[in-house]
Amino acid sequence: MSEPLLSVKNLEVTYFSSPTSAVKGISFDIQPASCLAIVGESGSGKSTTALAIARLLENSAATKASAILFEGNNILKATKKELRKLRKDRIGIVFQDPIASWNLSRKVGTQLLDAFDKSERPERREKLISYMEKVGIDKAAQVIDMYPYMLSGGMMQRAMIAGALLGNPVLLIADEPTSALDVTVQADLLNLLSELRKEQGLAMLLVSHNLAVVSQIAERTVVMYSGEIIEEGPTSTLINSAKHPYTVNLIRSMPSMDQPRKVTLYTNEIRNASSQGCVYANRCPLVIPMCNSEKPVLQLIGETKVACHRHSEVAKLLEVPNGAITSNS
Amino acid sequence: MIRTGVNFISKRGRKSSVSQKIGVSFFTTFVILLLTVILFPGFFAPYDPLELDVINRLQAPSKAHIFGTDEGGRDIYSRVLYGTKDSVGASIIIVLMASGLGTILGAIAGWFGGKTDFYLMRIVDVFLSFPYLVLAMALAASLGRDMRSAILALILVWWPSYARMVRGQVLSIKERLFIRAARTVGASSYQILFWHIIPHTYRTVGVRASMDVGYVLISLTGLSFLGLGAQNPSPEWGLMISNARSYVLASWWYSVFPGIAILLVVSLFIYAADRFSGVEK
Amino acid sequence: MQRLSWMLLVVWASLTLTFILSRVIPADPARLAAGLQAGPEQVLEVRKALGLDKPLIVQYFTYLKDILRLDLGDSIQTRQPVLDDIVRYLPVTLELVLLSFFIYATLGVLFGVLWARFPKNIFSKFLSLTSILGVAMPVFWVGLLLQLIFAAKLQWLPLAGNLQYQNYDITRYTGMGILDSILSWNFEALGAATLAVILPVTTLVLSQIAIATRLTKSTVEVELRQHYVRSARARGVAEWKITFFDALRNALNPVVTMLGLQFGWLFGGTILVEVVFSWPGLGLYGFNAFRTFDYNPILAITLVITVTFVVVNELVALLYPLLDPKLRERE
Repeated sequence: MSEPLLSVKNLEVTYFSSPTSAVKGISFDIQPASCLAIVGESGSGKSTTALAIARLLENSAATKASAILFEGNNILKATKKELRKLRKDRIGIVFQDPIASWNLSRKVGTQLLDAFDKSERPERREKLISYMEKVGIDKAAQVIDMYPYMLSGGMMQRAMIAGALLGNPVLLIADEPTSALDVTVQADLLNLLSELRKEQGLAMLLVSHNLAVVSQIAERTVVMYSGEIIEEGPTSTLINSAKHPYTVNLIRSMPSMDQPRKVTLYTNEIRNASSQGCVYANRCPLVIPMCNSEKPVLQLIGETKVACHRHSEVAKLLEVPNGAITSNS
Repeated sequence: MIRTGVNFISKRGRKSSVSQKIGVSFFTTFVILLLTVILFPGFFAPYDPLELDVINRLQAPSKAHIFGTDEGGRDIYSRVLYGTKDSVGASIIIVLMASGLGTILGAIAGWFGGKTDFYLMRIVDVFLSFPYLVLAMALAASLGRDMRSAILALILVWWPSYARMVRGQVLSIKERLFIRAARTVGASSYQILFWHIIPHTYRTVGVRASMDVGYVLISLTGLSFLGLGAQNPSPEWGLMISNARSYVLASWWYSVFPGIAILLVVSLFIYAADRFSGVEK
Repeated sequence: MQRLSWMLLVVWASLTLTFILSRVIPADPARLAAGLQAGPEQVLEVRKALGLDKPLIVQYFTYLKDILRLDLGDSIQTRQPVLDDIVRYLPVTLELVLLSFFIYATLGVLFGVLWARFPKNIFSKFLSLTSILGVAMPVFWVGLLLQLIFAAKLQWLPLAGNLQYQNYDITRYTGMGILDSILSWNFEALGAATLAVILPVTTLVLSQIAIATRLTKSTVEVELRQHYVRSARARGVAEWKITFFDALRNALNPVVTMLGLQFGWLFGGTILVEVVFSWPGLGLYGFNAFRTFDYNPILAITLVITVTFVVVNELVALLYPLLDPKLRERE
């Protein structure tokens, strides 16, 4: 096993506005050129994790960890200058909401090329145009001089992806890149991301609430609930033989690609999750007294890691259909 | 039934935080203090503000005269206290009348719409196109050089911004109320307007008004400074500063203390308005 | 086209308003023009000469006609055509207005941006304490205090007045002390002119800057919280670049509007400052006219000020499409 590209150890994130932590000490690795997905509902802490890794939450939250190792260096200790360089050249980030993520008063090209010195600009501009064409934007040379409000949501995201690739990153962090878009556009973008990954040997951290999306391109998946990882493993194994009641629930309520349905919100239950026992205890159909008093530890069972006291009974009790879903990764 | 509709609107945005409540009581105490000084200056002032005592003219601040004396030997501290009525009292009256007039006209324009709205707002726009101090000076100069004209001038200059603000609010409330009102029978437009719609504007108008007391005070003292408002021997603060000009080199206290009074009162009104408008932000 | 007709309407309204005001004044203009010693027949003659015996409507149209011909009448005070007076005094006022506006606009916006970007800094704490004071201080009092401290007590700066042209070998090209000194290549005069201008300009700047600073700070604050700022950071753009080219750029719209309105306030403030520092500009001229009911100058000055104000606000409106690309499509 080679060195992981990204190694997160005990990440803990607490927003200034809230007493409880959004992310409660999680750890995971991403291997070079592989894709890891973080799945969960709103409030699970998945977006927070992705943003915290890139240290983009400094203004609104306290980010703590034993270490966040990227290419062997602890980026938690990186200086502002080093961080900037990392973001420019090694890590690319794509955000969720295409409209809010663009400055509407500046041209597409100018915004995306901002980070580069004047001397590099002409060369980078050419590169940007070719990337934009590659991601499926017609007449990229014209689009580069347009203002963002002239583009559709799908095109804005494509342009954002092109911009993220401009620095030749080795890791792409994508926070629900397709959630705000139409289903058909979603499918296109996912295929695109998949191809790009294969071409460039790009590693990816994909955040999503939609298991169907994830099953298409992620090799490994992490399931988060209320700031903690409750199951983790190769995506197909996870989906076909889930060992945590919550994962089963997710799979069941999974919207298929042609019938998207938003996952129900349980924000109050998530907030009130006890710190003593299992975080999922107040919603779990299989809850027993031990779940409330003793916190289950994440342990490796077969190919996946699970944090549940009753993991061995889950398949039987909840009648998880076997081989129901096949993933394409 | 109208009341239900109104309650439906009023429940929104009703949250006052603790800090806001403290702000309100702080402000009320302050206003009460001011009003007391305005109504009963004699209670606080050690001397008669008009009594001349030329032997003691232009004395520096001392135990006997904590702000010193002016060119007529009058105690400046007492004059500043008595002047609260002329400066702050007048400003409060100006703001009350301007906001009242502006609110009514703005509400009428917003509620009835159509031609009334159009013409009224054109007038408002023209007024607002003038630099306000210049307009105030021109009005004050031509209406006569006394306090009454200055007050009238400032009321005329200030009402348009209230009209515009209230009109905007009425327009948005009108839209919300419309559906309910369509099902209501009976109450005349005037009733709805005066007893239900206008009270909803109280908060925004109130915040603006308290801030404006500060700005009006500055303009009023400015007019008096130029000789267009209060006249001697009135202890108005701007007038005192104007008189102090002739003696500024030797008698610094004469111009400094009335100015500090203005500064303090204006800061407090603006600061209070800032705190009030917490929810608005 | 619509804007132009609106501008004309406002100018016309101001002219009419001033005309009404001038006829409302309690003093008798004919008597004032004739002088206090004049007897009744002389006053009557003057009245006829000035056309004050004609009906009000006729006077009104004559007034409008004269203005179009740029005949603004004569001033009773200076006994000269008002137009000449205005040409003489306007540049002197402009020297103050332009310098003050430029300084407080740039400093005000800069301080506001820094305040928004570094809210925990000592400088920012200082700004939040003093910014209310800045708005609350009456401009004439500030001027008086500065005069007291720097001119009277410390004697670093002149007490009043602008550059005394007769003391230096310079030509009066524009009427603006600093400009004329430079054009005449006389550096001694330039020094004196600069010293003279410091106190009045500082007074005006201090009285206005808080407004610009507070507004810039709150608008930039809002922009810095937007998601596009996070995107730029994620691409590795330097913080200062984000602050100025992304956040400030979007925040400028309301700031520019406010600056345009403040320009109007500046006129009122300049009158007060010219009185305090005996600066011989349009403000002092107008003040004397107000005091002596010299109504031709009053009319003319109101005209000049209103036209300037309207033109400035129109120019500001022209800036909006530049700042916000979405608006450009409509043109």
